Amino acid sequence: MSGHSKWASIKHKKGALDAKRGKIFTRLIKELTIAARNGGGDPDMNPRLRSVIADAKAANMPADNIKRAIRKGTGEEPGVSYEEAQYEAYGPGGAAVIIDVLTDNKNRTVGELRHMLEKHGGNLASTNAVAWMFAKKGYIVVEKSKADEEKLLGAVLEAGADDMQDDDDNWEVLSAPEAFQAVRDAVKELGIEPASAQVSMIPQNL
Amino acid sequence: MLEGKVAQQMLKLMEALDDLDDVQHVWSNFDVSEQEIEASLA
Repeated sequence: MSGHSKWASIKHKKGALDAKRGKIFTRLIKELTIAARNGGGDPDMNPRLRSVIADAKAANMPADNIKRAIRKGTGEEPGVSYEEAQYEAYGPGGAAVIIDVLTDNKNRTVGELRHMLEKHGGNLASTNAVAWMFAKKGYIVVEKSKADEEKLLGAVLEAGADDMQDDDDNWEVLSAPEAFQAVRDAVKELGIEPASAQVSMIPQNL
Repeated sequence: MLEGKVAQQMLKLMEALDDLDDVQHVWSNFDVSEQEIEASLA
């Protein structure tokens, strides 16, 4: 164990707790709906949808639920219409926070965020106050026990990854968002199921 | 690196934000020790 940890890996450690809450499904359904709404219901023509479907399958979401969420997005089934928004905030101690939301009521969401932040010693920040401290990157976590370093490194670089970092028990593979799909596929082709794989906002100071 | 009370407060905040129904993802640039994470899980 190293002496310190950043949020992306903390989240991974806490992942088991999230799974229990069943919130993952709710989130994935919203993602599927909005991805289908913005780019159409055909995953072959819609890379974002393809990526979310892969996430949903990895979370063991039944195929019927996936289909229904997509049909809600395309309007083939009635559903709530969600809006995407990103908020920026400061945490206690001045840490920068970025919050991605999908909501049917922005006013309610902002109210809830403000309340939560104030309760825990943080506050909402203005647009671009902290976003510049982050870069959007494909971020894939592979447990070291599941991978041969040389093989993994070769495969991900071949697929267009920028970097592979050592995080104690895990390898962290970073790529441009555009290369993320190909890199994730390359990991899977090695027979490895990544512990986590997601286009993420990665802080530049870490 | 955040320590002690501020670190615990930050971890609680991240979890609370993450728990909100409308929130899909929360990202942050803070850094804490393994001990702080263990303490937050306890």
